[in-house]
Amino acid sequence: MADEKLSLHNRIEEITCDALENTTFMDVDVIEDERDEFWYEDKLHSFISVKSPVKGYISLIMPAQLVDNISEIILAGLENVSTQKLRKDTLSELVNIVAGRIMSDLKPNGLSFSIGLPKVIRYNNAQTNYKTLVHFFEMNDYEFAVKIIGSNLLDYFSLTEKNCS
Amino acid sequence: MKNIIIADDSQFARTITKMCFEMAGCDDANFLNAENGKEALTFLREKRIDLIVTDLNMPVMSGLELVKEISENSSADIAPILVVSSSYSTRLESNLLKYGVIGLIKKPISPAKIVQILGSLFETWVEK
Repeated sequence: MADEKLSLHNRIEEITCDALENTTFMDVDVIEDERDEFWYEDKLHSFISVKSPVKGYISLIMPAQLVDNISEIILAGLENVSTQKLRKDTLSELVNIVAGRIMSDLKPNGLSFSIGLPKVIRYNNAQTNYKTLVHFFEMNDYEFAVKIIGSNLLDYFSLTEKNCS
Repeated sequence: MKNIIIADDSQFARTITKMCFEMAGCDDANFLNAENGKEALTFLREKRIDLIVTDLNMPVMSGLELVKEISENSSADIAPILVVSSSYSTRLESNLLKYGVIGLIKKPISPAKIVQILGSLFETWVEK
């Protein structure tokens, strides 16, 4: 059973790396150890609600500079668009792809699911009562995190052992 | 020149989709950007369209609403529809196929995935 759960964690890491590498054309690496300072540094928080078959959230927390670097690679030459708009657009699409891949690849085969539209805010490190699973990654020398939020969603994936708080 | 509608609320996603189509051989196509299904329908009324590429999860009018609208109200010679979405299930794919969609690509899109589904369509474009 423990091996199965570890395998699921590895799958989340694989899915995230694969989805983002194939979208941004940058290498993505898994970080094993959490840095406490990560949560106190200025970050952008994009999240998407999972509506069915169970409720929860999947979110992506990235430094603005990394989002800007990704935008520059893909949207180079785009004129008359503000940095804020580009950041929001880029991060929304990234969380959309990561959340969609996690839901598609981890759910039972063939089962439909429904997710909402992505939202982007400045990250707030306030504590919540929601059960949360976090995985850390590095891209282009910047650290970022993927969070799966909500006990129903975590239970659905049987992700209740490692990294849960 | 072929007219291809790309319907996605994300500029980032539309740009990647256009890049992948160009890399798949459609480098001389005219790409029409739509931010939702409603804008895609406007293009359909105004121009001859050769291919519709649409996301599902969009505000104002979703891709599924767009597909249903086209399926229920258009003539037989409507352009083929390809869905590119982060949402994927075999059940969703079979539902979309019932509405006449020719394929569903799970994001992230790639030139190889495009050719896999649209290769035969591209061959008919060259023949014409």
